[in-house]
Amino acid sequence: MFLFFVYPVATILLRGLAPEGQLDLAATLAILTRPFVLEVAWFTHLQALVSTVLTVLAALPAAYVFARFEFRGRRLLSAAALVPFVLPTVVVAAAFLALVGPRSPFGLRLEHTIWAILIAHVFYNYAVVLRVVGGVWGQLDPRLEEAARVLGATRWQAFRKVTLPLLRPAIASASSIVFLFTFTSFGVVLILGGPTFATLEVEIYRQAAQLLDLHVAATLALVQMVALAALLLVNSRFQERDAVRTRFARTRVVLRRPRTRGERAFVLTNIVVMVALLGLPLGVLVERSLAVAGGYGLDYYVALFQGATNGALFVPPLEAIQNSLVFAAVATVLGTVLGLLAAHVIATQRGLLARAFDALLTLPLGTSAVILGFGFLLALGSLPVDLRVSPLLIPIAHTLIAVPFVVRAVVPVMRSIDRRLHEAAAVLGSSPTRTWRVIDLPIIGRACLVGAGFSFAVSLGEFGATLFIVRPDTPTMPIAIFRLLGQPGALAFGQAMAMATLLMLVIAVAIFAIDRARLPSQAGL
Amino acid sequence: MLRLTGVSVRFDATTALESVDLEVRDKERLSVLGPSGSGKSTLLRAISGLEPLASGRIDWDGRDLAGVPVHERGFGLMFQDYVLFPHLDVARNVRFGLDMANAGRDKADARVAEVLELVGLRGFERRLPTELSGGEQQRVALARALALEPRLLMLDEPLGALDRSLRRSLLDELSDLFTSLGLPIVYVTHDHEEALAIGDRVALMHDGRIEAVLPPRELWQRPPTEFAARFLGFTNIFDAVVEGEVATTPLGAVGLDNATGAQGSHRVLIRPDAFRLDTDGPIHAFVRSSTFRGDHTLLRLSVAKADETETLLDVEADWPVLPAAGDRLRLTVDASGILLLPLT
Repeated sequence: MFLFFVYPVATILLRGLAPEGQLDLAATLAILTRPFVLEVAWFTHLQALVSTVLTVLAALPAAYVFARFEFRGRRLLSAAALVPFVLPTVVVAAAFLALVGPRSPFGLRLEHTIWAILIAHVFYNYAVVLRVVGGVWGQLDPRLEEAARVLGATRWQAFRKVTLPLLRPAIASASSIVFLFTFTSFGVVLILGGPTFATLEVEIYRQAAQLLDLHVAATLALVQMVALAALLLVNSRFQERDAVRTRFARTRVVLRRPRTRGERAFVLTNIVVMVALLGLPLGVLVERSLAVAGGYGLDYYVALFQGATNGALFVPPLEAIQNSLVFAAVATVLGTVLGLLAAHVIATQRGLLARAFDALLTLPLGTSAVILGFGFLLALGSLPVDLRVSPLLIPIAHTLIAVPFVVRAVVPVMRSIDRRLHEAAAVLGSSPTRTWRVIDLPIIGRACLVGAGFSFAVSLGEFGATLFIVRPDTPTMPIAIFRLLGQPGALAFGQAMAMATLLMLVIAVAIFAIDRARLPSQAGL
Repeated sequence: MLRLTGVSVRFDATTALESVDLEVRDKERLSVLGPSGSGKSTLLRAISGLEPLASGRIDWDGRDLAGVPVHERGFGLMFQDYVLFPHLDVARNVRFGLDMANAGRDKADARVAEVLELVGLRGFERRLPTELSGGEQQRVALARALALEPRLLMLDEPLGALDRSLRRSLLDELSDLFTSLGLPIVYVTHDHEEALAIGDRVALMHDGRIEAVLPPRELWQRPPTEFAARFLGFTNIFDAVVEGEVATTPLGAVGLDNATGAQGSHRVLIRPDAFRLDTDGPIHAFVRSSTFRGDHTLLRLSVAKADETETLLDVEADWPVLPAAGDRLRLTVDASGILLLPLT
């Protein structure tokens, strides 16, 4: 943990503040006041803000529909809405490039515009608002609005004066999550934004990997970290406020079918918008992967497996798939084992130390993958053994990102095991080891599977950190997709589409498996 | 005056209200009594405009309300367990309707003070609903419904969430308040004591239908159906065949006061206070249990029939000498305490 997280991040700090080995704040300040730095910082905040507002506006009506109405396909649609959220950024970017890029089947050309980025962000984070706000809305007593109506409020007034204030904590919480995600958005902006647009993350990558100006990159990373820390602080403050009042308004809400014509139209409109927004990009991605000259076929998939070395890849595409699977397997094993150990410490130890440990483990989630990758790049070269050439580096980075997911999946389950279960087993004549085997293991086992599934999915889709530390001859699937997308020609594009489709399918299967393994009581995780 | 004509409400597949005809006259207090699920709340929601009607119409002073949206009906509704706005303090809850009506700041402030005074909650203005007891929440809900001076006040189980002793005192308070308000009132409850105490008339609901609408005294003295009798707490209900002035029941033949035109098969209700100790009485009973109830003692008796089966009988006894469990008695029945009910 220390070697692979604290040390790299500290190195960035050092590089940012003291480029030549001694503290040089003037140089750092000079970089900070360069117009392009301000511009990038400004754009990062602005696009995150606009993306967040658009996502909330798009998902709020749907959250209402899911919170109040019963309709055919409700459960399926609710599960399907989660799919974009778990997709790798590269797949999402590829899908949007397919939809609105140069080969768009509809002739839409939005690539390298702010719109492509914004719509992709809405697509990505729709489920966050739908789940977080919809979850609270679904427990909000519908009679509150009715009480307002009887007191003379119009529908809109009842929503604005009663429902909205009660949903505010949930909306704030969902918004801050979306803001955080879009603030650190890397793959989407890098691929869809073109040379015109850059968030802090993208600029860090450009400065470090393309312009080789490590000082500027490190300074930008500093700005990024400060901004993120501030965001996380604000986020935790939001979550504490107003919680009591909303709890007071909770009730068991019975879903009902839409009754009036207006209600039916409203529900239907939302379903159509949702299916279009979430389904269209992925549908077009698959369609493009199958669209060959003069019709449809599996040519691009065949090309992936035929082993033809492509100019940008140095290795046959098939090898990228193998790399990804091997890295993911290693990261899954490492992530699950480390996550279990960490979870055990957090679940059994109470007090400050355990909480600090918990927070420390969550940090890689907050600091963003690009910074992690950049830190690896900077720091690990100076060690006695140059870890940068080690094939283990990528799985280690993936593990670091996956561990918090495992911990989050396992700790609540570990804590939920009633001590009296152990006592009951002991009274019934079971030895401690046997108790662990017959009681703890079956209960935690499912949570472990969930955590392992997350590790696997995270590793398969990881892009930001991998991009920094990947070696030219060992690309993963997301890296291969990225490189193929940067290539001219229909074949490279088609192969990128095909590989993105494959990656999407594998992740979807992993997520589906997680969903099945999860205990019903954890459904909200 | 409020009039419902053939009002039906359906939820998905089930019918919640089935062709309800009902009137609430000016200044009338109407109790709506019925078990849970009988459609009482739905009735209030339909009148408020919260439930669309499947058929029928609702009029106010002869004008059809079909096109009038909820917020323009000017009816006050106090919801079951109050549904106060948790994010607003007491004063803001009460003035919510006044703000919606753009009442103006000074006028609204004055009215809030007035209704809070009325329900005895002056000084609670800044409190949040989460900080109030059940009884206080009930008063805030009442004040909120009254603030707009509604032309009709509807209350859904206003005392349902409160404990017994509080209900007693609040029931008297509500009754006095209703008298001073002079509003038409629809009071929904599942408790027959409340319904009888509050209503000028009582509408009894059963499975989405109105079973009967009667003044409380009449309902209590002559429940019109077996359901009504059972819901009011009567238990001695048997099959009976009427010939002339005599009904043949499981207890034997009993005389009737007035059976004109009511010959043949019936159900019969025998009021629990209609039994007299009589050493020559025709009913031979065995005392199974005896429970002291304050103003009377409830005896649970069993009466053996010719075919060896037994009939259970509840008797309210205020006799000078009371039997104990295990005793054997002989009883007669006052004809005035016997009521014929239609077959169901």
